[in-house]
Amino acid sequence: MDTHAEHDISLRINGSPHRISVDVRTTLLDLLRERIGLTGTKKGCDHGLCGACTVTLDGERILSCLTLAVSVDGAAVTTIEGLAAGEDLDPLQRAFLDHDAFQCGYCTPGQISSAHAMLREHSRGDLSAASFDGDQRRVRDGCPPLTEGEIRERMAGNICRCGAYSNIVDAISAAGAATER
Amino acid sequence: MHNGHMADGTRQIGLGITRVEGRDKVTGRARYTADTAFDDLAYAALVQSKIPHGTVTAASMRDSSTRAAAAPGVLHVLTPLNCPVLQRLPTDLTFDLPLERRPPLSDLTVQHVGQHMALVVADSPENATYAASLFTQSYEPLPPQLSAEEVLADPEPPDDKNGEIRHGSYLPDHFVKLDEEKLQDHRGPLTEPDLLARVSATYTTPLNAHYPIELSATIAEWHDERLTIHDATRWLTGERAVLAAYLGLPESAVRVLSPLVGGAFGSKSFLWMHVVLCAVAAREIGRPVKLVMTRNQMFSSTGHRPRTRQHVRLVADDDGALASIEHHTVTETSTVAHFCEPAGLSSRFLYHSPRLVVSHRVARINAPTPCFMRGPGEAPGLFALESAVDELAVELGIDPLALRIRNHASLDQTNGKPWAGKHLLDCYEVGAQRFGWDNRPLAPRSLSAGGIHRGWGMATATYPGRRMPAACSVTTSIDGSVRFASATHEIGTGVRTAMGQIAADASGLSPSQLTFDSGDSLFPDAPYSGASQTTATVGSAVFAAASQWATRLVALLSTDEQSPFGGRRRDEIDLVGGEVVSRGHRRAIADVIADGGQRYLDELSFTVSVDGGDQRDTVSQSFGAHFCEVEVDEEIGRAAVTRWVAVMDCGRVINPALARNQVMGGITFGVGMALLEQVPYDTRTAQMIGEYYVPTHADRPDFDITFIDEPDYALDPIGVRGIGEIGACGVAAAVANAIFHATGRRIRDLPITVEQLMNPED
Repeated sequence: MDTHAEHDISLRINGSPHRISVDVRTTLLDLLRERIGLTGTKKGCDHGLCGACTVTLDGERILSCLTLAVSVDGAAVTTIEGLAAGEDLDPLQRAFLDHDAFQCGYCTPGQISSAHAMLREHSRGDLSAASFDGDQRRVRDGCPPLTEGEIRERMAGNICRCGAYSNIVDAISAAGAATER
Repeated sequence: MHNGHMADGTRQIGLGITRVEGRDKVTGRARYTADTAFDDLAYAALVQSKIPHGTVTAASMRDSSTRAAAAPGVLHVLTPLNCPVLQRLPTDLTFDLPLERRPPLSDLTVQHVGQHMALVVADSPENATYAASLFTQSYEPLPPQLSAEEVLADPEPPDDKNGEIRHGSYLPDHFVKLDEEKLQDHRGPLTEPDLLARVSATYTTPLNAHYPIELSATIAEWHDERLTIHDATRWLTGERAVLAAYLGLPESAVRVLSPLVGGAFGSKSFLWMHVVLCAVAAREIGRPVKLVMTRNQMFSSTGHRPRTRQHVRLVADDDGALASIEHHTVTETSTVAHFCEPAGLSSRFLYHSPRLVVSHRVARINAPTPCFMRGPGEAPGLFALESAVDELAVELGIDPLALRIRNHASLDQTNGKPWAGKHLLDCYEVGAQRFGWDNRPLAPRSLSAGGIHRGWGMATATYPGRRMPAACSVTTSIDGSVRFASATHEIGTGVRTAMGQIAADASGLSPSQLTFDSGDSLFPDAPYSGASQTTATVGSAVFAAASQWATRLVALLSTDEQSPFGGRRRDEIDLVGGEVVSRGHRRAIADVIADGGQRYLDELSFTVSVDGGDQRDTVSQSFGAHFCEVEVDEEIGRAAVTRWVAVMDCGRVINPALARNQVMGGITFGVGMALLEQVPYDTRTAQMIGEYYVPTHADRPDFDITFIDEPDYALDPIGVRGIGEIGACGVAAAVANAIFHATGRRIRDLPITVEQLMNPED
């Protein structure tokens, strides 16, 4: 058993409440993987570079390898395992399948979790560096169209060494169009 | 051809079907080594050396070990002082493969930064990491040799430890165990012809790392005297052999499992020193031990592509017909393993030339052991050769594509044999047309606008068609489901899906009735998943197994008096899309199997082995053409690859969706090699002092990928030649050639970075 289980924290993970004692040094990533058994979220670098560990915390995408579990006591976490509704895939998951948006699949949970939050960021009007490449009216009026360039820029923190980038963008584009109001 | 009277509507080969493990991958259910759940798991952390050459003092090792052992939660500390002796690996393995001659933790000497010096095992990852951080090693440093230049300039020190540690440099005869891949070769006149059109240039490529997103992970567990290793490996059978050798066990006592691998690109095999240490620790404490490498450790402990320095000399007549090709490579390996990056191999055959000289010299330096990385030889070698050919075109004032066509080789000059199916001219033609190459102005800096310089470059791609022996089992169940299995590895190539397509077509089963399993060394043997050989190799075994399955079922039915098909001639009974069809009578295969009972199941469950094929009369080689556009902004030193056309002649394409994804991935890999990637080692201390940059979403071009899709039945009965690596070959040269066309600057050292692009030519 752990000899450093020092802090009791509460987390709502994929809708389920968890009350756990954690070592203060434990990252949210290691907590999910090693303690809770949610191994869908992956460790790719453990220092915030690759994006494979992306989950959403209170609706926003974060790098779980750089997040100490004790620092997010009380938060709601959604992992890749929490996106599908039972056997019904989320539109992003469906699109990744249909567009072959992965090869080895190891970065995929991070890509999908990141894209999920990114689509939300975009629909509420968040801009990116790519937003300033085009027509200024689109920036001024808020919510620029989700072009391929926008998707690439907003997803540039999720590395795919297999290089499935083109299909990933196609999948996100298709899913984004499908969920647009 | 093969057993098939199948209607086109049921044929699986050629369809872009979804990956069989796809749903698992998008839902987080897909299981990789580190995801495997265990009761009672202990966690390990590595301690590595911080100097490149010398010794760790026994006193500091002892003190550190004691300190770590006393830290919270620590279960065991394994060091050279207490590690049970591991056997040296057999010479027939280490002689020409990058397997280290010296077992891990065998002494206190240090041969490179990042060498394993201890393994700490604790009850949590945090406790293991903390305890490992308590190690303070005192060193007695020795002068390191950190580059080929140093090695070649200095006298060669003698071998140590009975030849486990070697110095100096050597001239390897051939590449791995392939006698015909000559690394020292000379064909034609002794001296170089004295013609005017010539190129003589030196090209360098830096250290490259595979950087798979999945960190190497191992879990070792013992039951009695039997070891089970869960490892992110792409060579189950090789790892079994090496672990058994290290531990002095029979191979039957070792099982290796690798459910899915999160990318390999040439890594995750050969360098299993950390794996055997986990096994030793697990035996000591009687609990399963899990190690996940850190990203930094991946650079020093799982292999890499070593540096090359390549000198290329081309001589041609005024019309551009090559009269001589010379390609001389100096590269590096560690002091404890053999490896030669075979950069010059493609130059032996790619273009027609009456004279050819190729050489490779390997310097043993105080650096980690390198190993194969995507396109070993081809990737750095084609950068040099295809840049040199481009330089020759500039020298002659000829279009670079026209020059290559002029020197097109119609047979393999290394052995005089014809290619089994070479469609390189089609690749050039289709690619040029799709790219718009005809509109390319010859002079550099001709496509500039608004301060951005656009350039168009191209290069030839090539990669061998390889095949090795493999075996495949078939197991039929009473519900009519059929499982094919082989000890191969799903590393992202889609092998499980492609094998299913091959099996379906060869057997007549519907895809939903069959599965292909991999990832267990208990399955029939297969070689490493590398050398782009898996589809040809395992595919041949699957094809044989599935064909034989169909033959056996037809024989059973034909002779089964209880069956509605009993008494019919075998050539009247077809298996198509999951049904038995004969003279208009149809019945589901699942039903006839259920009817047949155990007798059928026994006859329809077996294992087949196939050899590596026989390429006596022809050579199977894949070819391709890359065309790209690069935009260079010299004010900020940025090169952006905007669009890419690639046409590949890789034999038959089993699944066009998977194939396209592979080639796009390979090109992206090559763009990284061209513009971003170098392992940033400090030249004085040999420590890593920065980050390794790989392409992101923002860095890749728009793709236009075409396959010639002409089967090559000389290599295997399915006609495939493999596509995993060719996409990455020639890419760096195409980019460098485009950059020359954009800017007029010829850059011969990779990666091409800000510093090299920012200074405009005066």
